[in-house]
Amino acid sequence: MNLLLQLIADGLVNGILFALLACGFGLVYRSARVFHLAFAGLFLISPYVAYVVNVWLHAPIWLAVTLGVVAGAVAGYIVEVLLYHPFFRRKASNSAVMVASLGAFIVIENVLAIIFGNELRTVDRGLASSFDFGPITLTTIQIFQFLIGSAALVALGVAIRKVRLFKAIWALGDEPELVPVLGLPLTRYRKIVFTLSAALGGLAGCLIAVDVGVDPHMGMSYLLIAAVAMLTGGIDRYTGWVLGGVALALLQSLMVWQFSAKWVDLVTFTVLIGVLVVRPQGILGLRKRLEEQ
Amino acid sequence: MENYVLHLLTMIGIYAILAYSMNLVTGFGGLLVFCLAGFYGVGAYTHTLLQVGGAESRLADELLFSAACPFPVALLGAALAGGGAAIAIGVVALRFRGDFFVFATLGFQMMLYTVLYNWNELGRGAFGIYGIPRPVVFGWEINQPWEYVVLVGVVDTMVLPFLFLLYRSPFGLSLKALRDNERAAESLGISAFRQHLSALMVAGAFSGIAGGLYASYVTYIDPTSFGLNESIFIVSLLLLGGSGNIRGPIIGTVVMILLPEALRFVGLPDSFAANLREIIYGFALILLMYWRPRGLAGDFSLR
Amino acid sequence: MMNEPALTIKNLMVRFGEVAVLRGVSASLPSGAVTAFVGPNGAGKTTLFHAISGDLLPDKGIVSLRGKPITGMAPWKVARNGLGKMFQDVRVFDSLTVIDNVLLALHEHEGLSVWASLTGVPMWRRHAPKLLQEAESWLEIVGVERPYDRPAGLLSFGNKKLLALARLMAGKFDVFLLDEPTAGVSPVLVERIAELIRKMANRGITIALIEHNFSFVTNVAEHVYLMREGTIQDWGATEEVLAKDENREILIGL
Repeated sequence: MNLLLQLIADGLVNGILFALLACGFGLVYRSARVFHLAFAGLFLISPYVAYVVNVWLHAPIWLAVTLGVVAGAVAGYIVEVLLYHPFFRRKASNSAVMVASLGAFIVIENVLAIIFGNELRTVDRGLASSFDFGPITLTTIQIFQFLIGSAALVALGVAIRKVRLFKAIWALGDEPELVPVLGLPLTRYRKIVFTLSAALGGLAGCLIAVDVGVDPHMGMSYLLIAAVAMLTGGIDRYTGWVLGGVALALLQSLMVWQFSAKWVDLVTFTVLIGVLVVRPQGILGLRKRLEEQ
Repeated sequence: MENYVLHLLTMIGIYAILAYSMNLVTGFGGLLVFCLAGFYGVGAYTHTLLQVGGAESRLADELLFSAACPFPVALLGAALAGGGAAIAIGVVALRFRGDFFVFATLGFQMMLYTVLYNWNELGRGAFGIYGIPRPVVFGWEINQPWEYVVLVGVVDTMVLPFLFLLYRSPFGLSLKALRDNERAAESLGISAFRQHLSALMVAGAFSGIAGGLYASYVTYIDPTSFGLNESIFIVSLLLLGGSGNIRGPIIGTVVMILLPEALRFVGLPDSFAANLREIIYGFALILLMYWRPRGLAGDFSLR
Repeated sequence: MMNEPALTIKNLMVRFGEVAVLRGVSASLPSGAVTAFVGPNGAGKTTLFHAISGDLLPDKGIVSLRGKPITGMAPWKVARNGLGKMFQDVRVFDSLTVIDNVLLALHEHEGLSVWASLTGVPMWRRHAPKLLQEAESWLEIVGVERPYDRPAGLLSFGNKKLLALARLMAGKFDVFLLDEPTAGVSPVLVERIAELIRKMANRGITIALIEHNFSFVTNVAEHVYLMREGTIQDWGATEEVLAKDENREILIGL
C-alpha cells in the first residue's frame, strides 16, 4: 500500500511535467493547427543548453535552467520563422507540414547527437536530499519539479483566461481567415504561440533533465505522451490538457505498480487506443467533419 | 567490390517491396502511414520464429516458439502476420483522418517497437536473434551474395505484379477516388473504411514478406532495425521518388539506398556519418515538402 | 399524391450544439417524380439532404427508402440502397480521368474489393471494352465535353456538374438528391440539365433537388416543399405553392 502511495505521489509529479508538455504541444495545435512533431526535438534544446551552462561553464543550476528556457523559446521562434511560416504562406497541406515538421525533428535530434553524443547526459544536481511525508518520500528535485511546474501551469491557466491575447490566439485556430480580416496581427500571434510553446516544453525538458538526465533520442516518446494527453483531455481546453497529462502519469504509476517499469511506454499507446475506440466522435466526429467542409 | 554491389542490389530489391506497398496506401489511398517498418518487423520476427528450430539451433528454447518450417512457408507466415498487424492497426487508426490518423500510425510504430524491445520471451528483446538459417528453396541452399540477388529478384517478380495489378484495378480506382474526395466516393457506395483497411492489409502483408527476406538475408535481427527511424526512412524514399504511379517508388528506393553509400566514400567517421545521414534525410523531407511535394516523379502530393 | 413514395422522412431533427437546424421535418418523395426543396438560405435544405444521405447523423426522426429505414446508416450503405447524391460543390474526382469517374460508378460494388480485383483480372479486362462503351454512352447522353481521357479536374464547373449527373446515372441509383444542380452554370447548360432531369424522371427515377432558380423549379418539379428555419412551411403542387403571396414573401421578400 505504501508503495502505491509513493507511486501515486511520483505520478503526480510526473503528471505536472507531462501537463507542461501537453500544454506546449496543445497550444500550437489549438491555434496554428500544426501537428508540431518538431516539438519532440525542440523541447530538448533547453536541457542541453542548461547542461552546457551548468556543467561546462559551472554556473548554478537555476541560472542554467533559466538560460535553457530562454534558449528554447528562441529556438521555437526560429522554427516558426524558418520552417512553419514559409509553409503557412504557401498554404501547404496539413500532411506536408507534418512531414516537414518531422524532418525538423530529425535534424534537431541528430544535431544534438553530434554535439553531445548519443548517450545520457546528467547535470550536476548535488546530493539529492529527500523529505518524508508520512509514508511518502520525495526528493528535493521532485519537490522543485512539482512546485515550478505547477506555478508555470497556474500562470498559463490564468493567462489563458484573463489575457485578451489568448482569446485572439484561440480564434486563430477556429477562424484563421478571419484574424487578418479583423486587422489582428496573425503572423505575430503565430510567433508568440510557437515561442511560448517551446518555452513551456523547454521548462519541462529542463525539469526532466535535472532529475533523470537527457539524451537526444528521448524526445519522441515524450511527444507521444504530450499528444495523447492533449487528445485524452480534449483538444479544445487547457484544463483538459493538464488533466490528460496527470491522468497519463498516474496510469503509468499504476503500470509500474502492477507490472513492470519496462512496459510504461505501453500505457501511452493503450490510452491512445482507448481514446480512439471510445471517443472516436470526440475529435473528428461525423458532425464535426461536416461542419469543417 | 563485387559483393558490395550485390549487397546493394539485394537491399534495393527488399526496399522496392516496401516502397510499392507504401505506394498503394499513400500514393493511391492518400493515407500517410508511419508504421510500415512495424509490419516489416512483424514479418521479420514471424519469419525468424517460424524458421529457426531443429536440432542444431541453440537459440530455440529462448524464443516464444520455433517451428523449423521451410523457407517458403515461413515467408508466407510473415505475410500473414504483417497483414494481420496491419488490420489490427487499421481497425483502430482508420477511425481518424488527417493529422490524427498519421499520429496514430506513428504511435503504433512506437508500440510495436516497445513490444519487440521489451518482450524478451518473444525474440530475446534487445539482444536480437542471430543464426537465422539461410534460405533453402526447393533444395537450393542460398549462400552466396549473387544467390540472394536472384532470390530477391524472383520474389520481387512474383510479388510486385500483384501490386501493379492492384494499382490499375477497380480497387486502385476506388482508392484514388477516396483520395480525391472521400465523401463523394462514399456517396457512390464505396466504403472508405473497407477500402483503406484492405489497402493497409495488402501493404502489411507485402511488407511482412520484405521483412522475411531481410531476416534471412542478414541472419541477425534486433528491434532497432524496425523502429520509427526505419519507418521514416521508408516514408522518405516514397516521398522523394514520388507516389501514385509505378516509376516514382523505384526511383526513390534507388536514390535513398545509394545516397548514404555515396556519403560513405567521403570518408566521415562512422558515428558521425550515421547522424549526418539522418540530418540529410531530415532536410530532404523539409525541402521536398516545400519545393516539390509530389517528389521527383510522383503523381500525387500529400494533402 | 398519386404515387407510392420512394422516400419518406418523418419528424427529422438535427441540432448543431445549441442551434436547431432541422426542427421536425416530414416529407415524402413520390416515386418517379421531381420534388424541389426551396427556401431562403439557412432554412436547412442542405442539412436535410445530408441527414437523408447519411453524411450527418440526425438527432431524431426516421428516413426510409421504399419502406426500408436508412436513418443513421453510413453514407456508402445508403448509396448501396439506391440513393445517389450530387453535392453542392459537385465533387468530381479531380485526378481521375473523366471516363474513370463514370467507370467507378459503373462497377459492381463487390468488384471493387481487393479479392475481386485480383481474381477477377480476366473478368475486368474482358468487360473493360463493354464498360468503357457504357461509360462513354452516359457521358454522351449527358453531353460532357470531350476528350474523356483528361483529368476531370480540368473540366469547367458546368461540365463537372454534368459529369456528376453522368456518374449518378451510371450508378443505377433510383433516387437522386441534387443539391443546387444549376447554381453557377450557364443558361444553356441550365436548359440541358432541366431536360436531363425530366428525362430521368420519365425513366422512373425519383428526384429531389434544392434550387434557388424558380423558373427552373417550375420547369422541372411537380412538387415543392418550402422550408424556413428548419421546418416545412408549405408543400404541394409547384404552381400552387409558388403562387401564394405569403410564400413569395418568404422566398423573395416581395
